[in-house]
Amino acid sequence: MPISSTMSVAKSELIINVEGRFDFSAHQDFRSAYEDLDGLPQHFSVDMTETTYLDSSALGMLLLLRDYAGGDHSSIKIVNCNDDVRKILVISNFGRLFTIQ
Amino acid sequence: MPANLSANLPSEKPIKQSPVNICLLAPQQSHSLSIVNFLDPHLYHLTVIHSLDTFTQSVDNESQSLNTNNIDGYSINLFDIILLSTDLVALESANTVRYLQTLIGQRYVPIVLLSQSGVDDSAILIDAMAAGAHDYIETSAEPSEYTAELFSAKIASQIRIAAMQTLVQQQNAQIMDHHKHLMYEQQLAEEVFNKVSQNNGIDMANIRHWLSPIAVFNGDVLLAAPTPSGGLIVLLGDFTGHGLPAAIGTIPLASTFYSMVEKGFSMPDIIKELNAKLHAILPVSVFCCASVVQLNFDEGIVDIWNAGLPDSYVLRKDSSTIEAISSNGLALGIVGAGEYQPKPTRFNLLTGDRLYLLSDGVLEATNDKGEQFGDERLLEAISGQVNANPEKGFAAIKQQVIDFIGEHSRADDISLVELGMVNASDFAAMYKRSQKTITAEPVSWHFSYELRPDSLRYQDPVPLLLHLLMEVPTLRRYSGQLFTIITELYNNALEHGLLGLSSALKQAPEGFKSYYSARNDHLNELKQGTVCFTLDYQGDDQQGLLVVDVKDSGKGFNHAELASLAEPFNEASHQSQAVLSGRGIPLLQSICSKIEYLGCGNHARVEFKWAV
Repeated sequence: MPISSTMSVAKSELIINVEGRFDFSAHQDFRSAYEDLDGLPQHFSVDMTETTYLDSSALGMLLLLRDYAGGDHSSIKIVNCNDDVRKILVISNFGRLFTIQ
Repeated sequence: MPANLSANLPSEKPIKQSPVNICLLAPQQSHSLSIVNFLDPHLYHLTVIHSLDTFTQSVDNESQSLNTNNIDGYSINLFDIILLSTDLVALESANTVRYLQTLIGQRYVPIVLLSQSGVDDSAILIDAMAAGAHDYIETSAEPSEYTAELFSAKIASQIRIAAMQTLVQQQNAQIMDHHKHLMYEQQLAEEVFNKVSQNNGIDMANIRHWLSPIAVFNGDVLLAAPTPSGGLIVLLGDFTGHGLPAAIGTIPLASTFYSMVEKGFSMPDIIKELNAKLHAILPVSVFCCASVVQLNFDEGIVDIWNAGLPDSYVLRKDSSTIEAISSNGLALGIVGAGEYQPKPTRFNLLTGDRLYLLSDGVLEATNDKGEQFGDERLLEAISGQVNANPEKGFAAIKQQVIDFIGEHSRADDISLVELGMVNASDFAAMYKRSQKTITAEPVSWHFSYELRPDSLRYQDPVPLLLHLLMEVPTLRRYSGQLFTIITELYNNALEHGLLGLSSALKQAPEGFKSYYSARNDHLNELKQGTVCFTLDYQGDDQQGLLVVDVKDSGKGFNHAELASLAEPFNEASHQSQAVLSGRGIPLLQSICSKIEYLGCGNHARVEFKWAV
């Protein structure tokens, strides 16, 4: 579940990469990726290229990120999902809360 | 139970406080005596004991000390490490080690053998270590500086290991303690949940369910309750996570569900309230995926709504077809009330048709090879049982899942529910059977409730009035009829009386749509006007009379035509019949013992009688 992130200062966007299983064990690291920054980025992107699996605690973590990023005013993309990950996001209708690409 | 558990486990680096107490078990003139003299006295305190009998069985440390003149013996608890010289034990090495371990008990105290010649003593050393000794060190009659340093280093290493082990033991003990507290708390949560769902109707004959024994811990909940109008509402919920956070959400969910179904609220209203409640109280990352079904047995209609769970299924008996109802909304508790608009799907079903609700546990159930049961196998299992007797059919589906996962796996996260469509009288009979017996003392009361424009716009008085009537135990079996009476009279008073809508609107194409659109518009614009309900009830356990008056401040209508309903159909009475039908009067006539209109027709009075 390694979590890594890169910040694009120009675009004021934080990109968080989740590798492997996105489950409860990622909790601490995922939070640190966005909480331990100077200032609040305007945009967020969660890159699921390397994510193999997503469970309900991962959905909870995404909600926490959304809450931190401003709730209804947040701008968060979830990108490069594989079929399994996408299926879970579709069933949970998370497309209403995040931009899923 | 302690109020607070320590949040921190011991995590400092293990250090043994000096001096370390070493016990050397060796005979007089032992080969081990010279090397131990090289130990740094600032770090180590050495006690030499010549006989095993010197150890007492006492656990009382306070009366013991390491005074070398102590002739009463030493408790083994005084020592941090035991050095056992091979010339003391010889062939008894294994037994000696075992004896020492019994004295030591749960503490980690290294037992290290001292051997003058490793090779010659190999049998002794092997036996001793097989019995539990930790290591051996070679001694020398005339130790060099090198051997002396090596000896000290090895002792230090054993002490470090002992300190680490002791830390782990302490952490383990704390973890066990925490775990016990957690299990206790979960148990309490489950007890509260069970009390809240005491009237849970999930054991009705047309509901079959397979739930894990630890469902509440898993956040899986199944709720069912009959509606006042003679139907049934069922909810299958799956809270995120496990343990207490998941279980805790089940309590407000259940309590809100039961109270609203009982009061006669509609399914979308119930869902919206559940969402609002959970959104208000649950943490951001906790939510509840749910499927809700409302079955209307009178009309053979089923409304299904799914948010976040895998597809629910409708199995039609005649055609053996299965339709899937996919999740079409966000789970409960994620967004606030304003943005939550549940959209159920409606089906017309026949007796014998079945519905299936499930959480992902059954789809993800895994066998030895790591394969998941999946939706294809489930659909096969379901459609395979379409002609089976419902009890046997459900058991067969369950068995197929159990067979698939094999004996080595447990099905402790599975929730699968089957609902059967039955006819209305069968359901009424089922409900009566599961209803508790109620006493019926004589009752006599009068209630008046007037709604003005703001309440007419935003509130629905029907559930409240029905609740009032349901407080009378003997009226509960007539909840369907009473619901119809109140609803019809209210709609008449509001829509025809106050808002001036004509039910002829409904006859036109797209009629219902334009009717309700007009209703909304007129209601929003309403500045003045009232609808007033008066309920008057008297009864006992043998009979009862309810008189309902509904008066609106509108213009009324020509109710003199009421008599014409009794006459055979002809053109002249047709129009007045249409007006009367539009007000649901034929329906009311079939339920009420008397209907009359007073004043200009803006005042309806009906009587409802019952008798054993």
